[in-house]
Amino acid sequence: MIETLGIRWVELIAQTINFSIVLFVLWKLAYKPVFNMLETRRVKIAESLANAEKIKTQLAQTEADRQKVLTQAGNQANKLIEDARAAAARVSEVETQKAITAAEQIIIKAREAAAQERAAMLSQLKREVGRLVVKTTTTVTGKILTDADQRRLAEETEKQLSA
Amino acid sequence: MNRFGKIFVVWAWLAAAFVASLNAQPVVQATTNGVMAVVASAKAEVEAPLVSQIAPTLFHIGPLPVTNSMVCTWIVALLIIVIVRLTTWNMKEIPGGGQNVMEALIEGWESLMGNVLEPKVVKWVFPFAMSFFIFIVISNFTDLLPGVGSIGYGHADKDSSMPRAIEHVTTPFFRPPTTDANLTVAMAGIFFVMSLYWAVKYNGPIGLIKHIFGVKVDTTKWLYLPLFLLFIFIGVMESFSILFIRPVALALRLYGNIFGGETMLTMALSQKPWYFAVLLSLPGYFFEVVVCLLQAFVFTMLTVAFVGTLCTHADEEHGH
Repeated sequence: MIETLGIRWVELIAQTINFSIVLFVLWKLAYKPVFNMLETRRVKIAESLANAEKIKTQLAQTEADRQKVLTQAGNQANKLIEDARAAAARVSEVETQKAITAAEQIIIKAREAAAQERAAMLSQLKREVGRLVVKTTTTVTGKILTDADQRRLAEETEKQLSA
Repeated sequence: MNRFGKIFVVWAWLAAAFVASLNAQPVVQATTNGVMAVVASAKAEVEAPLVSQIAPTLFHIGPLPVTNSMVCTWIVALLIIVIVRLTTWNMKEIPGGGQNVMEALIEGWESLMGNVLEPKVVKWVFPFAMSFFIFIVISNFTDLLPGVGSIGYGHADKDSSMPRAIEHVTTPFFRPPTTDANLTVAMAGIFFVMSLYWAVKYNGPIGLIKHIFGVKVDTTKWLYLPLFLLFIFIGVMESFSILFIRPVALALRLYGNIFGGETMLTMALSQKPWYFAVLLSLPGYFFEVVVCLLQAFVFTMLTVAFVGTLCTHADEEHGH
């Protein structure tokens, strides 16, 4: 059969070498560069996917941080508003108290002043009445009153007025 | 015509061919008598096959007889080198044209082999299987090129008005490489040596023997001896297949199919008148396109499958 098919050692070895050369060339020039390229591309795709995942995570983190900051800012603003309200209420209370106190003081002072004025007026009135009584007595009796009489009359008049 | 009718016609045709060959033999063998020898010689020339089974030698380089198929092998090799160089000399991350095709081809075959073999075995086998496919496909397609098998030395056509016209080419300048058994046997030989190397590398020498001859099923101790003997017998058959049947089948299947196709096309094209030749050969060309692709695929997938049977732990795992 080998002879019928024309199989001869020299040609068989030559064809083995021919195919081996083709195999070597394909390995060197085709498979190796293509596999290297596919590997490079695979690594890049993996890196890109990892980066995309990282970016996604970072974005989520940033969003969470943003939300956190916003919430904190809102809380702080609310707290500030509450504090401001509380402070305003306190200030209002203090000022009200101050105003009340001042008003009371004014009232007290006014009362005191009024009392003093009344006392002064009353005292002046007493003195005037006493003087009038003395004058009236002098006029009615025609008698010149001594200092002691005048003093006694004035005291009696003052006593009666006070009563 | 029903199926049995077709089978009958095919068998009748084969029987007629066999009877015709029996009748032709005494004429060719009658070379002892003077006059008969001339007649025999003339008959032999007339009845010589249109395409010789053996690739004719064109010239010699030292001790090396350069056959027409070898010339075609060199042309195919050169073509592959040029194509590969053009497509991969400036590889880009975003591939275009040729690089795309080369990458798709290589990635596709790697993925296909990944379905049959383990990843590490794919790494070993891939360069060989892929090269078989590329080389065989291009070699097979030379069968369909005008001039291949039809330009060369032969008997002068005295009736033709064309100068140097030949009636029948006996020594074509080009012959499809895969119609030379030397090449198909060489490729099968390379695969045979490499498959044994991979089998030993994968299993280890003892592991390989266990893989071929070992009992691959769970059994009780009473059944172990008959099963052991059975698996020894299967192992012997398997060894015979690995050592002889597989390489021979690989080499001869490819050679036979492509040589048969070349013969069929040559016969069709040598018919007269010319329009009958065209009518007969046209379907043959379409058929051969499929055969060329299919045979390259079959050769490659068989090498992968054969390695798959040698480099696997599936049966042992199942057995345990």
